[in-house]
Amino acid sequence: MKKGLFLDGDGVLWPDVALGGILSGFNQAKKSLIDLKSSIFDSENFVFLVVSNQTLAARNLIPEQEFRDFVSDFFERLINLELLDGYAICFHHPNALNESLRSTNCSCRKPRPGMINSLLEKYSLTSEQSLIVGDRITDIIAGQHAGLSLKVLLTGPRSFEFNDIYMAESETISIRLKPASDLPDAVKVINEWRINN
Amino acid sequence: MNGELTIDAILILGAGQGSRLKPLTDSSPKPLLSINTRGETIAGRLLSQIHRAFPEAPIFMNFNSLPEVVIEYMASVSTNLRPELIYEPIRLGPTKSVVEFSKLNYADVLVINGDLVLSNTEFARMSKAIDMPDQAFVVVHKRERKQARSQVKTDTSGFVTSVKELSQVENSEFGGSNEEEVLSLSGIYKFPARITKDYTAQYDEPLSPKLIEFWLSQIKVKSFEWNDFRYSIDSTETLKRARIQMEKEL
Repeated sequence: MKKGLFLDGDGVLWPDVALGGILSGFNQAKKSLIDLKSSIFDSENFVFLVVSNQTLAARNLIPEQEFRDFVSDFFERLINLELLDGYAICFHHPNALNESLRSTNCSCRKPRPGMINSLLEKYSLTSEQSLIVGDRITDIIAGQHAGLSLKVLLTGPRSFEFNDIYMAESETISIRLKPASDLPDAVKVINEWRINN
Repeated sequence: MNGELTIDAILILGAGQGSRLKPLTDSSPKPLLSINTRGETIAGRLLSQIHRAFPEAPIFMNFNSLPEVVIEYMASVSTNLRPELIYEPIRLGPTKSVVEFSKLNYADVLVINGDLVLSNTEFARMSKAIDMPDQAFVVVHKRERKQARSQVKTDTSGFVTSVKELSQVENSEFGGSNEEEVLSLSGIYKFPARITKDYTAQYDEPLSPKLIEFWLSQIKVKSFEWNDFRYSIDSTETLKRARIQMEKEL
């Protein structure tokens, strides 16, 4: 059975910048995925998946349909290059200026596990054989709620920023994670994990 | 029997506030305090000792304060020594942390206080003494009664018969000599998770004799007497003494 590798977008596959790193992040995402595929020692046994909160449209910085089209094109190109297998994006925000994206109870916004759970099901993966790499504690909590076996947190000044959803409802009393300094270091952690899984 | 056969996971308790070590702990959690001129930390030394003694067992460390500092440091540790971290956004306290950990899928767990600076040779001797699966094991050391926080009594085979907390009041009212040595808990415990997970722990409950009494009510608890240096870093004075000892080692 294949293993699921869930990857956050901003701060993991491409740089996290204030006005939406995804807008200029394609080449970096492509490079990150090429590097991952070549350095995880049995990458052919992994399903590569992106789970990302994207709020540019919710913040009215880009028209919603335009942003949805952009995001769809962004990931479909990566899939066509055989660097990515699938993705799930949450466009919601509890305080969205764009009313159609305002939601306090969507199941997808991390740290909720909705995006991970739907991809686990879609690709027939088990949570025990899957892992996530994120740059925020909210990625890790989503992975924990989904029961993922390994949660790798990249170090950075915003690693422990809790977002609105977490602040509103978290009941998590302990959060398990493996730290990594950057994506190449995360690969070392993943390869170490693969020895026993 | 080799010790590594009966340890399924190791938990370093690293979520203490370190309030008696301020201002040092304003910028560094206690386990990350440096103990020698090479910059070795308390946690770094423990990780090396644990990995040498139990190379196959996964290592965990809980933490609460200065989380960015903790993961930055741990991400710099080589991956074979790097522990899985357990972040507690709300500090649980040692006993609750241990009980929560016991709910994971590990049978026999070794818990080590994250403020201990320990002798290498004694650590290795201790690890070989852990030879009872599904039994509890506590490390004890001799201490003057007036300074001890707990008193452990054992039978002639080294099995614990009783354990109690010693308060300062009790010590001052104690009829015998205050210089009398008693066996005191050392901050290192091995236990079966299947029993520990049923203990009802309170938030902020210290890893006190109550939990050991709970074990004693159900299983045998073997003691191991620690006979070499062991510093529990709870003040700038003990940190200073540990650093002097560490410089001798270099």
